[in-house]
Amino acid sequence: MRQRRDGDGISASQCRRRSGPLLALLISPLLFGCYWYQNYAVPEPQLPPDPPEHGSEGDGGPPPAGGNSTEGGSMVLSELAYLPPQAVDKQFPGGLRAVARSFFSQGRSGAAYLQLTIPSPGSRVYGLPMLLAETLASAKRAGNTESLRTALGRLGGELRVQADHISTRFSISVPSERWHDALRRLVATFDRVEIKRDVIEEVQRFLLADLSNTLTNKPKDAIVGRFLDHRELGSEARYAQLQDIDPSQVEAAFADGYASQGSVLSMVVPNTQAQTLLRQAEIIMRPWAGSEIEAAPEQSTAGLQVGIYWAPTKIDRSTLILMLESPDTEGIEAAARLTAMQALTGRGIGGRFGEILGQMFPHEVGFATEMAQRGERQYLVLSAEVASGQVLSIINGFNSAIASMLDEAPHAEAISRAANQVRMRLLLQQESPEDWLDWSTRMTQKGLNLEPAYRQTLAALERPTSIPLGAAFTSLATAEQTWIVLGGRPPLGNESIGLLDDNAFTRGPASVSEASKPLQAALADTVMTKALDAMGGGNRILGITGYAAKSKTIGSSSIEFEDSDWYDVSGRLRRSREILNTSIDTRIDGPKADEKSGDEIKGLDASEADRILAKVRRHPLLLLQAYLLGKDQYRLVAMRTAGDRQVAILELIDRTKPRFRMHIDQGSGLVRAVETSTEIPELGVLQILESYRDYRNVTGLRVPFQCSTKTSGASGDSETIWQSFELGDQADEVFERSEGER
Amino acid sequence: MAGILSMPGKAQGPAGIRDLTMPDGSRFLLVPSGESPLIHWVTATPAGSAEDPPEYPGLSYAVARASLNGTSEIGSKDWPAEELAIITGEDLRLELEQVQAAGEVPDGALLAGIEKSRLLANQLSDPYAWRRELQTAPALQLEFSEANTVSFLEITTTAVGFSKVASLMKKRRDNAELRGLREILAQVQKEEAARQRHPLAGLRREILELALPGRKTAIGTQGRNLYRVGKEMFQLSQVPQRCLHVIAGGFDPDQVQRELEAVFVSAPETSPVLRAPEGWGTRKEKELISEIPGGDRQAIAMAFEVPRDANPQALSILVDWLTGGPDSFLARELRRDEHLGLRTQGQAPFPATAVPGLLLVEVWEERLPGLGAAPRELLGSIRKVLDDAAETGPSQIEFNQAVARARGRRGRALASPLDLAYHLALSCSVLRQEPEEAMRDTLSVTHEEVRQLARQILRENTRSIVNAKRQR
Repeated sequence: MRQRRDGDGISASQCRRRSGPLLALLISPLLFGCYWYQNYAVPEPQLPPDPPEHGSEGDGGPPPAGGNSTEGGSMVLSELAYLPPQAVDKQFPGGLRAVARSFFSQGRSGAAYLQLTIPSPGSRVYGLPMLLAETLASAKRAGNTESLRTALGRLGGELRVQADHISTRFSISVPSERWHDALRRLVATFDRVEIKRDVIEEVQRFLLADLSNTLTNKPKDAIVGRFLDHRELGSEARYAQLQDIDPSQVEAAFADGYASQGSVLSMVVPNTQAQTLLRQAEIIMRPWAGSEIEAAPEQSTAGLQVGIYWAPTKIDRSTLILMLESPDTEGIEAAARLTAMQALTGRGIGGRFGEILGQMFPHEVGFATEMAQRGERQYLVLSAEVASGQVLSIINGFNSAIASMLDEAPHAEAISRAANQVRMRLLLQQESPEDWLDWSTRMTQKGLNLEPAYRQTLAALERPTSIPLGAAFTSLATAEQTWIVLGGRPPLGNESIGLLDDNAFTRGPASVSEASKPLQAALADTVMTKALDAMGGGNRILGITGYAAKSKTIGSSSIEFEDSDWYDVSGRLRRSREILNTSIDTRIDGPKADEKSGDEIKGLDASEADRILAKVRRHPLLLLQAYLLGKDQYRLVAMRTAGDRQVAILELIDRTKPRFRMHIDQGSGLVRAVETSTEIPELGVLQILESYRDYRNVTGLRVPFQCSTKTSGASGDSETIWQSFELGDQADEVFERSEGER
Repeated sequence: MAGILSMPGKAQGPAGIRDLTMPDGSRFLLVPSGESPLIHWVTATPAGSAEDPPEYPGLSYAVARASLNGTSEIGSKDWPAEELAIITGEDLRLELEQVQAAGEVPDGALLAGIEKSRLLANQLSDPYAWRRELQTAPALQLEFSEANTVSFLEITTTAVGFSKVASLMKKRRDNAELRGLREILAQVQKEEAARQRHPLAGLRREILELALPGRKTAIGTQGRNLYRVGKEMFQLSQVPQRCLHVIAGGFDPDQVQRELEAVFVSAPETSPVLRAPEGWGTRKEKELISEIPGGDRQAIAMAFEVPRDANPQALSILVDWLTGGPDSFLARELRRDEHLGLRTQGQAPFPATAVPGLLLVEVWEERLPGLGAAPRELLGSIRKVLDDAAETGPSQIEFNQAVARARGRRGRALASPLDLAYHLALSCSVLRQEPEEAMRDTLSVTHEEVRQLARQILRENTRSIVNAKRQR
């Protein structure tokens, strides 16, 4: 996954997700179905005639203006003559190959991108190539205080290091005018670096942390990585090998050195001729590559293991992964194969495979796609979450899809659409400097000429009628498939399935920042125990049956009102309010709720009644009673300190209600505040903070006699002072209206 | 409230950038690059913990993802029936949650009803339909990605497909039906636990509570099922003034402008009232500290109030110098104090939607259990380092290096039309820069300015500290 920093403080690609060399469509796997064509089957594709020739080849100029042309239901791209800036390659001494591209960047300083890919020092110890490479990036030069990474940062650049047992890659981006300095600095690193033990150990710790996180939290990435790298090693074994690397092994690997033989240098630098770039780069690389002209060997990385491999667990869900080698832009044949793969897989949404899946498992299976690379090979990776019992059927379905493509080719529109998609993807690959570096390195490693092959592929995609799809479909049928199943149980007795031991990784990192919910609940209980004692003891609190109270409240706009309340824990309330020379008598008794003012009685809205009762029930004593009765449970979310006071913040565990928090003073044990929200139709959601103080003893219980209420939004603040507060039973007559009142 | 109606505005920005406001209030930046024929459309909308109702962490991200699953017109075999099945299912789930909250055992009929609704909704829906329509435009990319406080949607198309893409984006904005929201929310919450990018979600939530108390959440959840809450959240995220669209690549700007003006004519009828976040004013305490029950590793977050008139470039340089990577001032000084195995990062403004927001500094240990000695007390060391940073600020050399890095980042952000689109989407939405400022080659900030800002923020302004102590 590519990560690059954006301009000002926030990293845009801490957010931006771009997957690999070919920017694949990445969709979260959903438990829904795939669309299926009803009318794809035609015996012969009927494609529209080729569009007229226009534009010139190879100048990379602006696209000609054009409109949408649709004939026979196909869409034709009107920018067919566009070709990206040309690349130039050269054989350097020492078996090093180099390829460069430039572009014109008008009026603004741009970035230069350099990538050096080197065969990893010969070692099958898992993690050693990466540990060596990262150590080199972090170690200081002999007689200097700067590491490579620091030095590049000083130039305004960035370094990314990738390594596996096949190749090690240093990718640098730097302001364009500093590219010489950056490349010199990289070359110097291979020669004069002090590798200190503590540096190696520090790098090792961070690599272990990253590996641990991947193995625990990204099992799909981990197992794909396993197949790309060291298939025979399970999670624990990989972790153990990395952990057991002794710094002396790193020193020994460094002493072996990185060989220029078989290495590839790729460069994208603005505003400089590509040939000039290569001439200058050759001079800079000489101290490392030497001056002897040697033939560069073509890289030939072995393909993946073919077959079905299953890493079982007891859970009945599996992550099903398919890895298919994807061709590069190697001419007309590549155009055909890429188009065929697109028509087969639809890159996750559709294609012939999607149609078959939709018939087999309607609305149940959706595939995500991404690209992966191993040496000079790249792979399309499809993955989906499925029920374990569906795995073999889906694999058979994939092969059925391939067979059906041979029997009934996709119709013209589908082919055209597939070719369009592939072409756009290739253009996108050329547009991004980093993707271009990956692509050019791969092509160079394979010994392919970049430009003619690429242009042939593009040209072929512009004329879908000419693409020899028959052979491409046939090659799909014989393409090597690597299926990996992560989780679930394989069917018994199926000898074609290879078993993997990959689900025993137990050394995963725990959460950095949050304790488990059960622990938070246990901590809350400790806090509540203290609060219960401080507020009068559990027995007394449990014994509360009701109260009668008188209070005065002053609102933010100086409006005052006086309340006389009678409350019964069964949920009955009577409130007599004096406000602006008016008396309002409210009574709530279960579903019955009304207000009387003068001679008029009107029914209270259920939501209004709930809001009034909710406020009453937020009284600290009633909250503690609800906790004791087991109606409410809390978890400790924070312990806050302001000055010399420490307050525990407890949050109610109840997803059906708005968030509710209680603040309990750790010194006194008293409830200092409650915090929640309420929604009022005319005003929206209001946050409420009620702070309690002036606690007094009332029949052995601590009762607050002052409450400050802050409400966000229009309502503002208010202050309530109680004149009296008496606990005890309330007579039924208090809550009932007499016949005369009705 | 209907969308704000205005005549389309046309402002010619730097390097031919057009800053347009559509009749419905949507803002577009058109950046023709005249190179490859690909056109990149990147939309930025607010998301993350500052947007989520506290009852549903991750909902803003889940809603954005679910919005790609079709509309009432695209992706349903029978929308009224499907909608009824979705709402019925979510109402039953709400009932289930209430039953479970009351400690009771739900009966089989309730569970069967939920499953029946789910199956019916699935049968009637096609969540890939909208994306397939997009592919036929033709459009290539549909990438959705998330930052801490903003989500991005990226589509790549060509001049041929642009009009159809615009139409589909408008349909999504007006009528997205959030299919699969519940499953996606579960996935987002699972990912948050596993994310490497911000393993510090708990600290950030608490920092927001301390530093921005009483921050108003616009979405009410009480008594409402997930689907309804999600719909309102999506509508709020799509209020035209909250989205920024950047179109970059090879196109004729006049043609694209015409096509956009033909499509983005009116805001949806159900646009919610745009309410600015409010709290209950500034707090009195200069420093607030909170300890939260931590996991297996210690982590500390500190947030400092940023002055309203802070120069964004100076702030960016300050953050980079203070926390940017292993060579930053904070990382270096902590290592010198023998705190090994730590990671540091910083962000400003945090959260993106707050004005002026906070400067957030985060430190956490990557030391794995069993490797090396237990760490010494960290909070005191961090305080000391930040006090030193307030006192001295960056040296001239450090300032020059930070400026060089900032220029380097700027250069990379402009390396391709797609990078440029993301850069402008981030800069002009989250960072609230004008396009001219976002594109400027040079940085207009002085060493003394950064030093003064360091002193003001790190010493004089209010600070909030959250310490997640390692649980033994």
